[in-house]
Amino acid sequence: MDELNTRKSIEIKESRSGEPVPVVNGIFLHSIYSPEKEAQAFARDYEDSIARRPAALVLGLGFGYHVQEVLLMAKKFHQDYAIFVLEPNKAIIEEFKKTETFKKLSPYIKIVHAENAQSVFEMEEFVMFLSKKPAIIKHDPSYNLGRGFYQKFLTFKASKNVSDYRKLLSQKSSEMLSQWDGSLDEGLQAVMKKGRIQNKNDYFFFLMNAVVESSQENKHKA
Amino acid sequence: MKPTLITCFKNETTLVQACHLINSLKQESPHREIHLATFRDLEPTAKVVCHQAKLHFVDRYKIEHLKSGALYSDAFAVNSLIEDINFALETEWDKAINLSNDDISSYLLPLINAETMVGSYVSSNGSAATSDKWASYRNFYISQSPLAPIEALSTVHHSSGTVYRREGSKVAMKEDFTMVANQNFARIRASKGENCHVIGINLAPGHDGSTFDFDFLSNVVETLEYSENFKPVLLIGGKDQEKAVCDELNAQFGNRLISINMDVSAAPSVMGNIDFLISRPSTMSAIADALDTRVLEVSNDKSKCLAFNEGCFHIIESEGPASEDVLFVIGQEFDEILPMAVKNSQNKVYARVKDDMGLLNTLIRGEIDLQAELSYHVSRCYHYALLGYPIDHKILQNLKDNAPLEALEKFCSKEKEELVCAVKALLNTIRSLQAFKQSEKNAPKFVQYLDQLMDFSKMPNVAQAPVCLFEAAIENINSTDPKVSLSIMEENLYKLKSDLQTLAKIFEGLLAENEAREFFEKGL
Repeated sequence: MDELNTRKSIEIKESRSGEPVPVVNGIFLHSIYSPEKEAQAFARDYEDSIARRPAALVLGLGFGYHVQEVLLMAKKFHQDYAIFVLEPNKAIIEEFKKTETFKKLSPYIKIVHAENAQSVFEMEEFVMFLSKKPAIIKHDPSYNLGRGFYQKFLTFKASKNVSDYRKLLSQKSSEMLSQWDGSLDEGLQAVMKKGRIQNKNDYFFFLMNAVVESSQENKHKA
Repeated sequence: MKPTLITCFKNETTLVQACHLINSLKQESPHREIHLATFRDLEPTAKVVCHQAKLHFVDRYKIEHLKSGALYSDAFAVNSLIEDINFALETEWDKAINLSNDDISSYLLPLINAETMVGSYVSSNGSAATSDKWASYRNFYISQSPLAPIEALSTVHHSSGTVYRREGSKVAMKEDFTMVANQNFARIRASKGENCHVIGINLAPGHDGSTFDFDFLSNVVETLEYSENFKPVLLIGGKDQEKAVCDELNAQFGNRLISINMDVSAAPSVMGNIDFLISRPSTMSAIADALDTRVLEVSNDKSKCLAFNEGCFHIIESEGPASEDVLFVIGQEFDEILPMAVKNSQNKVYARVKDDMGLLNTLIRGEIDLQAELSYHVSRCYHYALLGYPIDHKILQNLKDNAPLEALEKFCSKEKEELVCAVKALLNTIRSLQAFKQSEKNAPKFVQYLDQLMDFSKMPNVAQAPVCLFEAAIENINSTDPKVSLSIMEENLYKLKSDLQTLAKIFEGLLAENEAREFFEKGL
């Protein structure tokens, strides 16, 4: 299983500076001395990425100290800054929600929890967020804990066949592609091979292709 | 009344020209509901120039990003596109007009429910179908001949069943910008007295990326700034390069020049306050033209010019300073004498004028290439005739009266040579079609001759337009029955023959002794 759901393995310890630090299977997710100072140094390491991108995807929630510092850093460069945090461990999320940091951060961030990498990419909101090309910020302790999940996430390739993603289609989209199960590109080739439009919806393959080409051409000119 | 849909999925300059069609349709029928679909990235311009229509956008960058990304399921790209075009799918339209003759519209139109599709679209056999002759001319001829004597905007008006109307509110003007602009320009005018003419000079690049060189700008600005009744105003779009040029000019003139920084939403308020605009062909010159501000476009390519209205000018640069031509036009337009260093010009200056058939360009300065002028006016007359107008014998009589006989003979002789080649190819095709009808083994010969005939649609010669229309008619054949298809082809071959005979008649008429009117009324 990708997800780590073991509540029993989470301990909450107090740092020297008084903040709670989650410990999972004996691994400290933040500095036991000063999570805040550690988080500030963490954010400085990603300053360039934060400045250049309009949003950030943080891999690993912990107790959010690093997320807080990323948000503060982002405010130097951007008026609005979206942060999504991907965390496969539900227990960590639930413990985090009890903290003061959560109360401060919750209006500004979105926590994404999924059982596996595939289901993350089926969330429309998350996919639309990814389409903005956010900076990818890795929280190492969390990443190492959920390595299997995160690696599958980072190397994920979506299936291009309509039959595999039909459940994600809206009703109108599904009606438009009701006669086809393969990929859109294969659909286009199949209609071209027939040499004739037999079904009105076949135009959709050409339309999609034309829209994509128009975007690519215009980017190339720019 | 069902609403009308106009689709424009090309570029910003085509979108600006949409305002003319929207306005013409609205003027004809004020209660008509017009919708316009274009790209999301063109939204700022659409809001300004298509304010009389309800706007819909397709976010091509988002769709392409979702489709191309290996991470994302294509479901999201599909959902996104469907969501963007759903308004078109769910509505019953009176007309769906492919304004910009683009691919996206060609595939979208057959997907929707419209009583009439206007322009070009893809038929069920995968070929480029057109709604009428004007659309055929646009898709098959203008696309290959950007210097076609009948412009795309004229053809789309005819295809849409309306006439071009100049009057009307084509462009949205923001009240707050307009108020500020009115106040500022009142002050500018006051600085030079009540006879002051404000001349805007657009420093932004044209739609082809070309800019004015510094010498051109310096010469024009200097002459206008030191004149009694003209005040130049530099118009910039905010880019660093434009600001740098503006600063350099200002430094030359002791910082007395006026410059205005404007984006597309503020442009109408500014353009509405100037008396004349000098610009490379661009969105700004097209907006000024739509506002009825007189525009002078300077380009090295006539096909790139955008200003459409009567009273506008195009300068086609070849050699020598175009700045002198600009000063010539301004002096002429405002009846003022401006100092000019060069009296005659290598460049060509055209004025946009109107006749019974529509708008045209007439050469007002520069060396006359008589053959080119004859070609333009004769082609224009002929092309309108191909599209259903009567032959304009007034134009032909004008040419007979004003062109030396020698030039007319040279022109007609050269054109007839090309015409003869086309007629030969046509007759071969007709003969081989008859042979094919007798026996199928003659099919390859027929196809070969048909191909040779179709080649004329790609050659820039006198027969190109009618062969393009013939090609369009063949592409429009939607029958799967070979006999029916052949019959339609035959009908169109004879139509082409008739069209080429009309052209031959025009050449005859140009050289005939009797008057053009008499010749054509008798001859046709």
